[in-house]
Amino acid sequence: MACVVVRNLWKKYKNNVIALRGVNFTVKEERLIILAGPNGSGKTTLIRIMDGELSPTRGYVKIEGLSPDEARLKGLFGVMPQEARLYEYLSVREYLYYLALIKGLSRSDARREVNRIIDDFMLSEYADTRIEYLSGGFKRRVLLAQAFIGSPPLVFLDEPTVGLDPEMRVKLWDIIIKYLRENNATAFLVTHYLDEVKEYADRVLVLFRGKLIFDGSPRKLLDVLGYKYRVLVKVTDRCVKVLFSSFNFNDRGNELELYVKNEVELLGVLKIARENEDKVMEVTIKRPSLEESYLRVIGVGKSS
Amino acid sequence: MLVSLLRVYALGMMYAKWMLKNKLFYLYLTLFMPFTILVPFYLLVSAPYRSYVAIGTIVLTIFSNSLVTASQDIAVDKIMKRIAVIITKPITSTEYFLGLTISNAMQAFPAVIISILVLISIGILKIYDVAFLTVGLLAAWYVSTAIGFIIGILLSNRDYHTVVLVGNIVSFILVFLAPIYYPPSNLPEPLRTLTLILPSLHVANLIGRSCNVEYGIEVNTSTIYVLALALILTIVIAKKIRLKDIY
Repeated sequence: MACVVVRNLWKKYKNNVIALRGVNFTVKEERLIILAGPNGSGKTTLIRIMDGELSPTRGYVKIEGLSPDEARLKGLFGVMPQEARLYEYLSVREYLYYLALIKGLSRSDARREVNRIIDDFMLSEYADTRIEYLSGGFKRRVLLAQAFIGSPPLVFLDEPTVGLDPEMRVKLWDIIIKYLRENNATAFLVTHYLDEVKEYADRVLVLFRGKLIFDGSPRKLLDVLGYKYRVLVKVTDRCVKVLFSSFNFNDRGNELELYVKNEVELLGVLKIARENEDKVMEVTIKRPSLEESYLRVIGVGKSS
Repeated sequence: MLVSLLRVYALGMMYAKWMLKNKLFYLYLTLFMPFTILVPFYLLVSAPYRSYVAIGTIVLTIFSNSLVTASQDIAVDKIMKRIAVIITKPITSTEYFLGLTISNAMQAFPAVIISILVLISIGILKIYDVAFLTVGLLAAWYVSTAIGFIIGILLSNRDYHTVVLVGNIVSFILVFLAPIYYPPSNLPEPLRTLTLILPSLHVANLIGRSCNVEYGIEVNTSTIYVLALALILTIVIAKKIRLKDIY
């Protein structure tokens, strides 16, 4: 897996906007790293510095011990930029073929690679169609596919599935994860669909106003909430609420939202509910989502 | 090898395909554009100047095409952010520039060749030295694309209009302020010396030499000037132009 070192990274744009404020992290063993944060938090700037498009104002990035420019010239990474358009007058095959040549492949290898990419990303149906005639979703897939040309050990994917339908998003996550596993590669992934990739992610980096405010595993991010289960208890008699007073809860009239730390507490809640089943209408147990944890982290970031 | 020819070819094709697939535009550039410029000029000037008009139109076609197209290609790519896909691939600024040169040559080559053939067939031009003609044409493509490439990259951010405007102004200065459409002897003295710094004049001189059209400049001077300028621009692109912080 690729080694990426980011040290004291600052970026101040010409208009004096400070996009990054002393970001530090090292990636060595992780396969999928999620970059999260609200709009304007510096995610794309961070990706663009790591892939060599932008110079940092201060600090540095090393990819396998090389500067981003050196790593780029060695073809160590692939990039799917956010919102980039394609050369619409080319067919999908032509576009990928020329990019494969630019990536440094020979003509025959480029042809083989393009066929592989077209198959992997389910583009066969429109491989020889001009890109301008493709739907937005297909164009997005072509843009994503080109990042994987030449099987780079590192990929930067800036919101790869935005605007795609849920079914296609699931398919593309599967393709990306399969690629990472088969090639022992690493991916930095900017996404707002945290829960869709939480089971595959090894690490989550949350940026807020240019600062790295969270760095840890998805489990650690979930721990930020301080509870493992959210239990919704619908009651017919409000008096029963007092029985749950030992738990951390949110009173919503005829419904209680309990924040349960572990399985022992959960059993306690269920026991009370069973003992008072004439007064308890319904119990719903929910696992908190990564998005909830993320929002909590952002909330803490805002208040600090 | 410092430059990968396959990369240069691929990039050249990526840009040129637009023109090659748009037959109407290609036809316009190939046949219509040079002659829409040439015919009125030809009718307006007297016989001794007609060869100058022919050479001027060839230089204009190449300079306006290559310089403006190169800068516009980059400006458009910045706006559409599709340049991000190119500059994150293992490509150097020299390869990028050479790719654009090839693309420009593919787009303008037929126009120039057809223009020359027509001009020869109707007796305006007589080619005595193909070597000078070839050097002149190649120099024109190379130098004008290099200038357009530098303008496109250096005028940073995504201001398309500024890039187009600057490209057009530079192209206009190079073609119309230089004494290409007429003999430099028609210019008053301080201006005549000043125009010697314009590469378009030296390119015209090399092409003119192939047709026995006099621009009053030693052919060695123009050859050295054009080669030195091409070398300087190549070094600037290789050493100073970084595919970074450009949008």
